[in-house]
Amino acid sequence: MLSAAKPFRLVTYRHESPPPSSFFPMSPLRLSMVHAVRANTPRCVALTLAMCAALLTVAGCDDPSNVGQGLLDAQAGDTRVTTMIPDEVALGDRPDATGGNAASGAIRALVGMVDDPVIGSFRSTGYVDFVPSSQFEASFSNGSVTWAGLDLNLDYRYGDTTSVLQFDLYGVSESWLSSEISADAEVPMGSLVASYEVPVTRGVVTLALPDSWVTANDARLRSETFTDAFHGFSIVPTAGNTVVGFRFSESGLRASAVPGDTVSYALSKVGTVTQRDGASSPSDFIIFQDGSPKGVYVRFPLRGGVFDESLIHRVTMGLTATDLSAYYPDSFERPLPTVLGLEAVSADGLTRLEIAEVSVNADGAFIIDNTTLTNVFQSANLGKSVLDRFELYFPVEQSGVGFLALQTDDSPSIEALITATSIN
Amino acid sequence: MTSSYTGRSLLIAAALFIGCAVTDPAAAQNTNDGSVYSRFGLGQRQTWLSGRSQAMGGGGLALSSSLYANPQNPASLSDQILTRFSGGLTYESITTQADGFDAGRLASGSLSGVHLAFPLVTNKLGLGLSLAPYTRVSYRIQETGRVAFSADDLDAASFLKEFNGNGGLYQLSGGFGFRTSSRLSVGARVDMLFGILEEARTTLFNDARFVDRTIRESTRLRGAAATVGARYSIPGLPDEMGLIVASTLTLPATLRGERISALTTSVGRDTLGTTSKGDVSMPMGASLGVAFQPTRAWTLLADATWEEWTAVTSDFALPGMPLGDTSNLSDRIRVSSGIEFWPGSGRPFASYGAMIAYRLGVYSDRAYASPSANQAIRSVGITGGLSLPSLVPGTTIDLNIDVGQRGQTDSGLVKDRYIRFGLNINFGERWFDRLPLG
Repeated sequence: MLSAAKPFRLVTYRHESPPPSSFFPMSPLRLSMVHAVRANTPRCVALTLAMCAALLTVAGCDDPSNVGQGLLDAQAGDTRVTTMIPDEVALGDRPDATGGNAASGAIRALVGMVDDPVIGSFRSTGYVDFVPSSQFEASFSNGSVTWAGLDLNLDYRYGDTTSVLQFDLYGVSESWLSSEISADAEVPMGSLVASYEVPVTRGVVTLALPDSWVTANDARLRSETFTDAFHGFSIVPTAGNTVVGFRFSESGLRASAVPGDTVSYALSKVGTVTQRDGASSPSDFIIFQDGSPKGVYVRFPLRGGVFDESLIHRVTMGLTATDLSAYYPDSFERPLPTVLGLEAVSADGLTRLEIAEVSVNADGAFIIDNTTLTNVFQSANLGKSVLDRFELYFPVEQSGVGFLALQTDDSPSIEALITATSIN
Repeated sequence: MTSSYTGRSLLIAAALFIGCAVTDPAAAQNTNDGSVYSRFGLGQRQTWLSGRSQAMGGGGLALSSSLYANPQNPASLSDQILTRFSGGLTYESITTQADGFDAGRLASGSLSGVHLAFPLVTNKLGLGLSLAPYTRVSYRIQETGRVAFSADDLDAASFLKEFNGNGGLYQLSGGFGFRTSSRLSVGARVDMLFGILEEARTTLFNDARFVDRTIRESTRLRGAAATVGARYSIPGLPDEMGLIVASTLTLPATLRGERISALTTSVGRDTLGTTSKGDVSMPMGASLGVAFQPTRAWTLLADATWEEWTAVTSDFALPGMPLGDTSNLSDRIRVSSGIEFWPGSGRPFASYGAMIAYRLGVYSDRAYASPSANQAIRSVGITGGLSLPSLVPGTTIDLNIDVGQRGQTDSGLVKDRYIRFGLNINFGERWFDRLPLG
């Protein structure tokens, strides 16, 4: 019978061996025996402890609050908004792209000459080419062309709308690609076809081609290879004070044969070359003109001590042209560009990164605000970019001769609003 | 055979576990939830001698025991009877306060250290290897702000700026201790110091018009230092009474390093500039410790450590330590004292409760780096712990607690109140011996 006064503890051993009595060193033999008996126990203990330890290692909770800010402010850059003006705004060698076809590019050919009250004289020569609208009927192909004329849909005017426009029509002697036509392109002209005088009113103008030209081109007009054999016309202004634009829709070439019907040739491609006479630009402005052989480039002082190395979070570039309407009479129609584009360009001009094309806003400003621009500024600021400057351009679809006057003095037209945190 | 197999399996498992935790020093301390003071200099200096000393104020240079290796003083490695593996982890919770701010609470776990020591000649010549954090960088601070694009503040944007750092230096040591006489032991140790200090600053906008960016700076350092130590047992004391004095001297060293800066956005990472290379000198240090044992059950400790950080130079600008400016540095001074009561010492058949060792300690530590000159950052704390014997001879589990505070709320500084829990495992086993019947 067990003594009730004496509590006991049940201890079970798997083998008949004494319990360990001390954690002091024992003989190797004794250690072996104890370990044999207790083989599972330390494993469990170790496993439990290892799990606890792992938990401790990965555990972490936080409520960091703002404590410690006071120790960092002196060493951490502020996040601030900085207004930066370009250290260089100048005319560059980038000619405006002015060629286009029915699918892409410029939407009209420009013809005319203007004596602009602000920027002086300039003249635009237009190029047009045609393709048959449909396959020729046999009666036309086998007939003889007796009449041919140009239909030109005048939908754009820049200049004195009360004047008339005189121009010469020349043939083009070689094939040309609209995609390669820019404001300073050279397109080989053929012989003079005729001279015309047209009022600068909107709508379709029909110009009858002279009989001599019709006779000379009879076979070509009726040929199945017309598209390859005929290279279009060059329209060269000779007098007037207006530049007009002829757009694709409703413009074409028509030819009538006897016997047979009248056949139409759709306007297939256009191009414009513009020249400005002299340097009559006002000194306070950089003139950024659509359809001009000279583009505008801009450089910002993003390195070299003016602007510290920074984390740039946002860049908003704004361009506001000076209002020059006071310089122009009421009869002078002056459509201004409404869309402009911005590219970042390497020093050699071979690397180009399109940043954005933006429309003028209700305040008359162009605002470029996207992460591409921000990243370009960031790379340049850290000296990690091959890009050297920004080039402004007018998207080719705009097809006009309007211009923006960019002030470069104390109230510059271009500025960048930079949100940045200085690194150092 | 079974004994050996089991013990070694445990050892290997523990080593693997802790080894995994420290394979990448930066990753091992990647929680960013430590003290803001770890931002300055090379990080917050860490001290871990053993699970035992951690509970006794963090000192213990003169401690000598067959149950604990003491890799901090290489002379103590001469005392080895068993091959001994120890490792520890620490969980730390910090409540941080500063004038004018709401208190913040941070918590994280980290490796305290691991070491392996074994005798070449029992109680005469021993070797030791250890790995422990030398400094630790682990902080995260957030601040909010607004940027306005016009005077009327209509188009303003809010941002969150986060500063964080992680990583630190590790100390991988290998040393030996040799007992030249019954009272004097000497030793030497080579310390490989290595690690990565990572600092990052992120600005986040809750607005798609802004690009969030992080600037990250990684400084990788490596180098070697040497430490010599001695330990002497004072003669002429009564039986069961012992008095040991010990000292170490760490020689100045140079760490070679390279620094890489990178800009990170949500879409990628861009290395900035070229990798910069340079040196960081490490200070000379000296430590003195005394251990007094009036009876077998009681042990008292007192320790002092001095490190000459004011002589340190760096080719890299470090937080609180601009190039050529060491005005924010101070010589580190750490003093500690501790007491251990082990009722069952020398009584192999004592009850389990008597076999538990009870420990207390206090310490004061003046940090080597401060956010501002003439404002030394001091830590004071109380430590305590229990050493629980396991059923495996020679193996203990040491549980520690450390409650203290660091810094102050005056002068724009921050006061950290912290509590640390330490879990240490201490294995001991005979290796390299032939079994008598084998």
